[in-house]
Amino acid sequence: MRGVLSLCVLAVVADEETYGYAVAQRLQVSGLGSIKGGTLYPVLTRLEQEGLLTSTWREGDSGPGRKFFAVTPAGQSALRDRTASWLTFTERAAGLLTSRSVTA
Amino acid sequence: MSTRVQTYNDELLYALRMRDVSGQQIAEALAEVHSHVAETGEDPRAAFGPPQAYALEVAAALDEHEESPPSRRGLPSWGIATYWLGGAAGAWLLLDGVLAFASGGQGTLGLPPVAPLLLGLAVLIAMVVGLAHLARRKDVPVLNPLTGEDMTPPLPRWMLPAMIAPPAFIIGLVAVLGLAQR
Repeated sequence: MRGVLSLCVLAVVADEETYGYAVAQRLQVSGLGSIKGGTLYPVLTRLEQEGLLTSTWREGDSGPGRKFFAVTPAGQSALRDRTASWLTFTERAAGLLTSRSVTA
Repeated sequence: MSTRVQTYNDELLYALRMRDVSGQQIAEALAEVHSHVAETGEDPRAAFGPPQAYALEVAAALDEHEESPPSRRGLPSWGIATYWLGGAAGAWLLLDGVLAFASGGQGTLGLPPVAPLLLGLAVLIAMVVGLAHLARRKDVPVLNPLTGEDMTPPLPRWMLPAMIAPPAFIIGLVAVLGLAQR
């Protein structure tokens, strides 16, 4: 599931430059449940280490500031490829599971 | 910063440092924790898990795309064993010197009491200085990515128990043996 979470995080950041807590909120609104900080930030770190995201710290209106993430051209390309792979995988998995439930 | 976040970040800092994570990456992880809990109001332990476990996650995330990731096994077991042996030996010498002074006799090795006393003291001081250096690592500064302030606390909370444990163990052992002989 971590691979899918990573893909979803990449997709959220590709939509607009954003920060960790906003990514978590967007994932929750999309029905993916509550993603804890201890899970989310290592995923963002991995994507950044992979060169798919860049980050910048900015002062917030109040509080300690926010780390904003933006997708790189390599990230856009990876998002397209990985989304296509994921859709192919889920279609095949759905086909298999549906055929089993029909024949059962 | 609230005490809860400060305490959590202090523990996280040393847990990451023990795993040889760079000062910049430590600062990023600490600032992320601070920023996230300021937004959510969550307890940092509930949001990120225990600092030691989260440090492992951060180190793993940093290493995943490295061709030859550095060793991040933390303090090696031989280092911990050396620390305990050194602490016990230092405390033993110190105790030996004090007892020899009190009885007006000689130390275990037939030396005047001042020799084991000074040697034991020197060993214990060297160990405390070494441990403090390992913990502080002034050569690897952890600077807040926004403000540039040093995020390293004066000394970690585990320093005092870590310094006291080996001497306390040996002194306790001697006391128990002394009581058993009476």
